[in-house]
Amino acid sequence: MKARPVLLIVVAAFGVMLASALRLLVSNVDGGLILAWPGDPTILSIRLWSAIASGLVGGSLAASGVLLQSVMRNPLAGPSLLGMTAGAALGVAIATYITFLYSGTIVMHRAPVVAAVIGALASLGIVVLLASWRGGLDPVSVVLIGLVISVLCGALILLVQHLLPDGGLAFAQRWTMGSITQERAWGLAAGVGGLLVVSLVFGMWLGPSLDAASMSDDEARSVGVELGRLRLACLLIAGLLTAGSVALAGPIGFVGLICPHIARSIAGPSHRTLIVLSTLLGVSMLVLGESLVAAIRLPGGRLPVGVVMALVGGPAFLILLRKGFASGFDSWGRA
Amino acid sequence: MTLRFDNVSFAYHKSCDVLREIDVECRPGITAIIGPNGAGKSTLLRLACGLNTPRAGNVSLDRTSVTAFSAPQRAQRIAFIPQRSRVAMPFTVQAFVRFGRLRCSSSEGAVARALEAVELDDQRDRPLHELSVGQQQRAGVARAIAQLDGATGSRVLLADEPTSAMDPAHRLMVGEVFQSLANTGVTILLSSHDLNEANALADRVLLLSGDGTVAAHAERERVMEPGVLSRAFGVEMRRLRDQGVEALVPTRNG
Repeated sequence: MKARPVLLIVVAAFGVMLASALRLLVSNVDGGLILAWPGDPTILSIRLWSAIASGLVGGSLAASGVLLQSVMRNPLAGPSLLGMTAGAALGVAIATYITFLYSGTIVMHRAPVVAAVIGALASLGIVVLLASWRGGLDPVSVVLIGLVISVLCGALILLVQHLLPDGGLAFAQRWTMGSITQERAWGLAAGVGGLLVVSLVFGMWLGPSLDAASMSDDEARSVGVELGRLRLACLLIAGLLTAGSVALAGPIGFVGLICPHIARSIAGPSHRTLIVLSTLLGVSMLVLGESLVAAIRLPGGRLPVGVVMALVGGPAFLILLRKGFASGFDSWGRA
Repeated sequence: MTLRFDNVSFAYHKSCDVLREIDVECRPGITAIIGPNGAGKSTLLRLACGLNTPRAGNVSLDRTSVTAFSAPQRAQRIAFIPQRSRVAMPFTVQAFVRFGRLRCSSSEGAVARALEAVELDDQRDRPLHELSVGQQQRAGVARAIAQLDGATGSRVLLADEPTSAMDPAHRLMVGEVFQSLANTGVTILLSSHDLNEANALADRVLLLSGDGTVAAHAERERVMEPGVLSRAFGVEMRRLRDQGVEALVPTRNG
């Protein structure tokens, strides 16, 4: 790796440290913002969990976005667009409903990992199966089918919500806009962290193939890219990363979409650098978002971090889009 | 060292064969593939590259089916130049040419030589998508040259109208590059609508007819005859000569 990418990664890693330090220091007591090291070990543990979990969610979504945008050759590809986030959320919704049927209460405190994983992978499986009908995993078909599956899952989530008492308000609060789970599930965090490390190693190992896959299908295959396997592997890893992030925080948009774009505009399109830089940016972005929601207190309670991500990410994406088109990113999608 | 099409038939849809019973052997040197639109020229190249599998028959390189090679094995033997090279992300020309070395030992020397061969070494740091279409075609040629650089054993270059958007000077230059590759033992299949380019470069010519069968496959002099070409393309072809240079020109009857 050349000097400049290494320097960018070091700077991004430093940004992660600063964001994490901020999350450990920041709190809001009686409407007043406080920046202080928590003396109580329990509070420290809560803030540490908040920093680590939000970092893992941001990193997972950003890494997932890089893999998806690359193999789909689509700047709009991301966990949300391909139906994975909605699938994971639907899995959680169904699990919540089944629990309600048996126990009579809406259990929201436990991280429903298995349900999220099954939901994300099931929706991914349906997308891949339907897109493969015409032979190969055509990027346009994958995105279009992903969009349809996403809408269908969204409708089913609303249906489940209406099957729960009081319209499933408690459920909706958590699952329409994601927020970091308060349950300190360290085992789950370790699992998501391990998966994130594996996906980074995978991305760096297959970086040259991911680079070459940005050519047309015929040209990529002619230089030796095994496109079918590459796409399947990337989709599978992206699905698992999305499921992990949903289990930790529910559905959070824009991070997986915007971080790869920012990283690409800084470091160029080479995937070995891109996946690491994008992941670090995702970590910083969500940890900063989590710090922000910890710093402010609203009458309705703590704001879900997903709201902040959407409010910041949406306009930021529009700015990037405008800037990107001016600097030559308009080659997207025309290959 | 031969690329063989053994009674190859291919159909994109079951009801309609694009190619029918192609039985052709290509040896080192340049074989031009000519024929009317829809005759199956590009499809033939895709089959030779293993991008499609024949409905019947077999395409083989040195008696091994091209679809039996692993992806790295095939990439080390067979390079493919599409009509236009494009990338979905802003990779530079140099990075794009380096894609040709994906399954080869890393060699910046091969990339530099390929860029120099197509006179793009001064454009190496520009994003590929900022280049003109003709320059992008030259980058595609460079990528394929880099892919075959240093390869041992059989080498095949499949070029699908690689010069269609190039200016005359660069057409001649790329033609010379192909001829020098052919002289080193590369088997080149060159699909072209430019009959004069085919006439100038090819050792042998494969003429496909509109129904996807072989109308002629022989030495260039025997196929590039006005009478043979007139029948194949449905227009009258005339040969003009001037100071040792000849040109095949289509005309309307009468």
